[in-house]
Amino acid sequence: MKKILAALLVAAFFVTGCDDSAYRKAVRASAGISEGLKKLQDANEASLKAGAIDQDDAKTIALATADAVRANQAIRAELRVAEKLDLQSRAQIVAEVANIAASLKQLNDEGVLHVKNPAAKAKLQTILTGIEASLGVLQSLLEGK
Amino acid sequence: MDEKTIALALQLAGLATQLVLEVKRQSGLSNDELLALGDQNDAETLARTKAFLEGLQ
Repeated sequence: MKKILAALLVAAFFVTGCDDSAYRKAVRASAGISEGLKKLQDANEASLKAGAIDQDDAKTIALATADAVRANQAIRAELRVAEKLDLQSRAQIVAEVANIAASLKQLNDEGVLHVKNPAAKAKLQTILTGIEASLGVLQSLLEGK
Repeated sequence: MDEKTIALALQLAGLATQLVLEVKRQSGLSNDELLALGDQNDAETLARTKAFLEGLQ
């Protein structure tokens, strides 16, 4: 399921934007990450309310989500100044992409993987995979692929 | 496959479809609109995570 979703999202991303510039793809990826992080916090709150996750896991997920949001805000601030994805802007964005990747790893390793309820875990993992797909697009752009 | 597993698979497929449709919808927005949408979503998520964490303490 995880691999299928990631492939679907990356395909949707490129099929709907095959003529897009690298800059536009980066803007779209950042918007996709924002949307995914919002859905993740939705699912986090709903899962805690339903008693499907415990407070410690919910707290870890919320903290890592907030960290990822702040890094994504920094990427957009850079994109606003850059107006195109040149070497200088790429270098500055790389650091923030690494921060998002670290937050997502923490979300997965210390949050989602600890969730015992299989339905809540699968839902959180599905959303996380969507965010990782957008992040993968950004990483590919920064590597010049 | 039992009913619970099928229900969960359908729920996940629905969620995955929503994510893909959102990517498609966003492709129709301008760069400025996408940047503004990201700002709006991020501000909302940050405010919600803050309130959520305060509520847990």
